[in-house]
Amino acid sequence: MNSTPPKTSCDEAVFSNLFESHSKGLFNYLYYKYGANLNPDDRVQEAFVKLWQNCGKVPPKNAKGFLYKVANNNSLNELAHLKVVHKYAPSRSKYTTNEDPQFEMETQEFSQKLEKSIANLTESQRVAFLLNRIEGKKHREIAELLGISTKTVEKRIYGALKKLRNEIKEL
Amino acid sequence: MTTNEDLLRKWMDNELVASELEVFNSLEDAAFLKKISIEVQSFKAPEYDSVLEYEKLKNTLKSPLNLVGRPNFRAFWSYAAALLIGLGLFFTVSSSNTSLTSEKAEIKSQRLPDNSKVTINAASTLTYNSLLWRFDRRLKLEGEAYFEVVKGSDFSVKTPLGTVTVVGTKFKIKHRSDYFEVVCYEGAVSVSTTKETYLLQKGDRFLRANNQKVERSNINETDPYWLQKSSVFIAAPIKRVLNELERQYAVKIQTNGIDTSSLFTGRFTHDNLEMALQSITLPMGYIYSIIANSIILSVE
Repeated sequence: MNSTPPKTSCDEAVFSNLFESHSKGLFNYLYYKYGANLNPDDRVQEAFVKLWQNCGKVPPKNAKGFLYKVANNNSLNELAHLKVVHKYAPSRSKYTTNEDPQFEMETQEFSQKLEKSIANLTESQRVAFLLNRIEGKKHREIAELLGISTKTVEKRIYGALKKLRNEIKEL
Repeated sequence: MTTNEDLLRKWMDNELVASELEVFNSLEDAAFLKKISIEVQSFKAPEYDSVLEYEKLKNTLKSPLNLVGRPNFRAFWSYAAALLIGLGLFFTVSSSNTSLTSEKAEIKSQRLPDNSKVTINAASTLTYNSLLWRFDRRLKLEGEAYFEVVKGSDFSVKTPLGTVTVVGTKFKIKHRSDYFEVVCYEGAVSVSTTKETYLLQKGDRFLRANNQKVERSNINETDPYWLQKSSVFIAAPIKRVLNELERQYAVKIQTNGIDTSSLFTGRFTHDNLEMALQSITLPMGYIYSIIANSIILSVE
């Protein structure tokens, strides 16, 4: 009956598909969680190399969890080496060229506050909040990605919002 | 009726319908939320080029370090290292096997690493491991030896016919091919043969000869006679007495018409062959003649 064994992660097509479907999400997750200083692209590479080395042991349906776990662990190891201050997107797009200087200055100030506040969020709050606001992911999608409940995602996002609101208004 | 929280959640999830959006926009917080949502875009993760990254990954995987099914070299080296250390340990330990051997007509004495003293009678061999001695005081003996054991962990002597474990201090072991004798001069020792274990107290003598049943008796001396350069026999077959003589003087003895199972009680000295021969032959009524290293005994 089972004449063709189910394809493993060792199959190149399967592996390529796994990369296609998870690499970007993993990259974003790492970026929002740890910032650019931990080289999320390298962590993604490492995770997939590890997956390839263990492709016999990790069936495709478990690959996602495996990748996130490996990348997360590697990032934490890296983090232990260099205590990182988060610094997001050093190059801001100049979309305010037509505005008056006062407005531009205010915007800049606001942006600086925001950056500081976002760095102050907990990792889990930041990931959920930024995935929702920047990547436009729905609560349910985030929950699925992180393997947690929608309720938890909401809690994290609103926790983040509350913190941001307090900090920015205070500054 | 939708609450503000519901509105917020729906807005965040992009699920507001037009009528709800109007309500949302009238909320106090709406401006702030929108501003944050716009500003936060500048923190967007850099564009991830998954095609390029996949090419990079494929190159990495092609390099010999990451070949599929490559042997796990780290594991290999750790096994190799463990093996090397194991072998090294094995050879160190086995190379520190020390043996003490005496030739015929020779008595040797040695201090063991823990300062216990051992004296071996003629034609005996004692083996022990000097490195492991601190942890495990164990000896192998073929022949006859006298021990003065310093207090410490178990002290045991293994012979082909049984193992002697020291509980106290001074004892001797005599082992011949068909003869196994243990005498305890001080303290206590335990003797284990294949069948049973015996505890010898001071003055106890354990004897098993010709595979016969075990014999226990008492002695009065405080250390073996051979330490005073003589051998003592109590109702021993003359064959064994002559054997001992051969050992102590490194001679060959031939018997002529003698019943070698007749019993002998007495002693002979280790210093003087003529005297020793006389002490044996006179009471037994033999005569002897010495030709170089050979001695012929016959009935008078």
